[in-house]
Amino acid sequence: MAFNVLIVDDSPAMRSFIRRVLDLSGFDVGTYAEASNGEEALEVLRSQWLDVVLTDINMPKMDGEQFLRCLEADDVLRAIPVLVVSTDRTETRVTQMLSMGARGYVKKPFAAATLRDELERVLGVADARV
Amino acid sequence: MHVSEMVKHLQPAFTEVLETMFFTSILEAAVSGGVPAGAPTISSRLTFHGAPSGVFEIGMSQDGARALAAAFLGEDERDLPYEKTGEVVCELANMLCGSFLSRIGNRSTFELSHPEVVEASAEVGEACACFELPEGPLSVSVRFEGQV
Repeated sequence: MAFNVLIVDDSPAMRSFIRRVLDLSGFDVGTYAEASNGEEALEVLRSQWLDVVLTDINMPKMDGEQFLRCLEADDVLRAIPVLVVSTDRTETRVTQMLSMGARGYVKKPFAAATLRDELERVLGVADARV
Repeated sequence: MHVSEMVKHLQPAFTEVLETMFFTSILEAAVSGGVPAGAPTISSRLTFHGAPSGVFEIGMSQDGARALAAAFLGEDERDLPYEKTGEVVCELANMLCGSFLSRIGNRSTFELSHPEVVEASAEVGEACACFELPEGPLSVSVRFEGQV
């Protein structure tokens, strides 16, 4: 089963990197959607269904924290699992984002296998590889 | 934590980021209080807010940056436009700063500004270093604001 993935990060380079490592890791991706901040991400999610969201925290306009709050406040969007991908690896931040509804947290820098394994765990699939 | 202690965290922070996501490594490190000889031709700067707050800047040669960017993006460096190289250098600054702050902070969170490509700053930060990579030297300068 292929998964449709939304990547939310203000860095175009990081969005490209995530796509590349997911493809190389064999994770079964159907389509990719991208957004450079939480506000754009909400627009994308309201226009198409996606199976999982990978989001950064530090972003202009609407950061990851506010984005997560908006998702949790929406009866439909809250069902989409969110995986945080961030440079902030402090225990305080990890705990905070998970308590706000994120299903997983990957700290930058990360290896391809780490991202893939965490995605599979969040999606509840044992092996989502092509 | 005193600034002199913080400087010791630069190398492990840089090593982790460079090896994990840029598939390169530090050949040699020199901790210095000044900008190294051979001015870098592409720099990226961002501000950080938390405990502590300040400005974080990295710099390297354009050729070196292009090689790192090509490795990061999985693209041929001969075809890589300057704009994409700049985007990768900004992301490198973002990750290096985040990795460094996570090691020196008191378990407190931090906010990072959107990194930008800038002219190399003439101002030298309290924590400086230069790391020799296979792609060339990578310099870093961290300036703290307020009480550290």
